Amino acid sequence: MPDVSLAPHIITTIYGWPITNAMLASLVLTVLLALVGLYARATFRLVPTGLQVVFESMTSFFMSQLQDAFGSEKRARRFFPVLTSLFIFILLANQFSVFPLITSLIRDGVVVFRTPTTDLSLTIGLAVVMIGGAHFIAFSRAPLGHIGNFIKIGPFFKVRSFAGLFDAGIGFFLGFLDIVGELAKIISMSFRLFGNVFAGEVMVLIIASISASTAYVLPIPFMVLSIFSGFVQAFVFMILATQFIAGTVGSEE
Amino acid sequence: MSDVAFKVLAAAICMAIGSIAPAIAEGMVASKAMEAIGRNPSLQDSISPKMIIAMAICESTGIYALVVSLIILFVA
Repeated sequence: MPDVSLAPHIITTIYGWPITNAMLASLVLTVLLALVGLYARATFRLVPTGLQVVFESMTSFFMSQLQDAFGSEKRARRFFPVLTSLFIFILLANQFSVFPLITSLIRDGVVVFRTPTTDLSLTIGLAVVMIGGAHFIAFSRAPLGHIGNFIKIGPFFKVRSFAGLFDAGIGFFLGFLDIVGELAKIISMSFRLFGNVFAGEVMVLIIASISASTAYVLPIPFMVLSIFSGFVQAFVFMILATQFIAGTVGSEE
Repeated sequence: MSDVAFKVLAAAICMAIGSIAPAIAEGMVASKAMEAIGRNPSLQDSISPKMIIAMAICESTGIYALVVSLIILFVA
């Protein structure tokens, strides 16, 4: 049985803060992405070449996706940077184990880089930021109206009959179910991403370690499958975040 | 039975039951998408990505079962 652990290993501590291998990997990835972005901006030309073509086609594709979700171009433009960088980050983070030698670096018996999205803390963090951010924007736009969506006291003031009171009571309790639903969104988004990526890695690891004959050729189809599912999950995470933000923030402006 | 045997058995049952519903759901999504493509082949480019997203969402209950069985096997 290969050594599989759900929790990332702690490499070192800085002033009592544990630094895990997943955190280090996501930090390196973030810095690399920022550098590539700055390089692409510095070499921007009227006639696109190489890297610029990739960025431009990605921009136009995601702008059309976001316009479908948000309805207006102005609003799509506002949420475009955070959602697209979320997609690029998750996409590259899922493929971390594909690059050779990076995940084989070992210091003091601990792997130095671990695929960032196989750490549940990262996926929960991303989901909390997305859902929490959507609620923060909706709250700062219309505080009472947003709270009124969840704690439904408003209908009680419009009650005319006994049956109306009954309906308002049911609506009041359904409001609490909506609060649970928001928490469930965070759990479902983060567990979906974590489970897919982690399962892909564990499957390759277990198949490679069954016997010497399965260690070389047999894991390749499963690696291809895990690359594909990493791509799909990054896209799904981004689309779900878009839909939740569009649904929470609303379409009024 | 020993503790390890119970763990392995629990993980196996969790995975076996938990993967029934997502499999049926994914089959339904795929069959409907194929039907739609067969009816209007020019819409294939627009249907295929939506089918993959819907499948990934259907898959999530199976993934929860997987996470639970991994936790049973490697953590608890």
